Amino acid sequence: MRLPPSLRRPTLAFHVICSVGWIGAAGAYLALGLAAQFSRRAQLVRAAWLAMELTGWYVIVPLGCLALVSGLVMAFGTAWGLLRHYWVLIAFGFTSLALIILILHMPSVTATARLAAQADDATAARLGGDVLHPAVGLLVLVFIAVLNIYKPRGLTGFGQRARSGRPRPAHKSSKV
Amino acid sequence: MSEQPSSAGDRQQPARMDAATVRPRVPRWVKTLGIVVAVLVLLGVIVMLASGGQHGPSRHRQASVGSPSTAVGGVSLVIGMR
Repeated sequence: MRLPPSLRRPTLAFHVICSVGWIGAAGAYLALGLAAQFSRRAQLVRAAWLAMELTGWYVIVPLGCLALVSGLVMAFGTAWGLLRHYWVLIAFGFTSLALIILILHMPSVTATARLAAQADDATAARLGGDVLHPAVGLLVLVFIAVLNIYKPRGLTGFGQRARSGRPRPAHKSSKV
Repeated sequence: MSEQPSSAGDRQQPARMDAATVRPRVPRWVKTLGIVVAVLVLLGVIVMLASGGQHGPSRHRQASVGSPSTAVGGVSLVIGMR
């Protein structure tokens, strides 16, 4: 089902806002993770972990889910499709992977934030930060954004068959 | 997805492609990306194995359900990986 032009632009605007917002929120999370990693001040480490938990669950995860869903709506609601162009397929794959890893990672952030809140100053100061996940995630998200802007050409096999309007070719064995 | 795909077809694709007889070609950028991702994943696996292999979704689940006393041990492992 194609989106009418009156809905296409608002949906696109929503998708761009969610996707770019996800990148910005991941950047803010990385700054908190770096602060917790390199600081030995218990108060700062504790505050950073509490902020990472709140930012993660209430900003990053919702933005990621909304970016994925709005991207799917745009894919199915326009001529791009989900499986026709390599760039759409790859962007969808990386977005899904990033979101799955994020959701799997967040419970450990919650556990560490609870520990930071309860621990004494000496323990809290030694908690360290969260750098690897947000750094890699940020790189992946920026790559997806670049992919969405450049839209490198290339049709998948499904896209080529759909464009030519022919059915999927049968196996050689079935031709005989 | 602001622009609609051009109806003239991809520059890398012939104008009239018989999909039933011509095998679809994978663009060079997709192949390059696949190689880069495969190398990065391989490097990541090697680094994880070299550092004890304490990573993966099960680690996240352990950290989330652990009691405060076990969470301390879990966190120390997490920090060791970071």
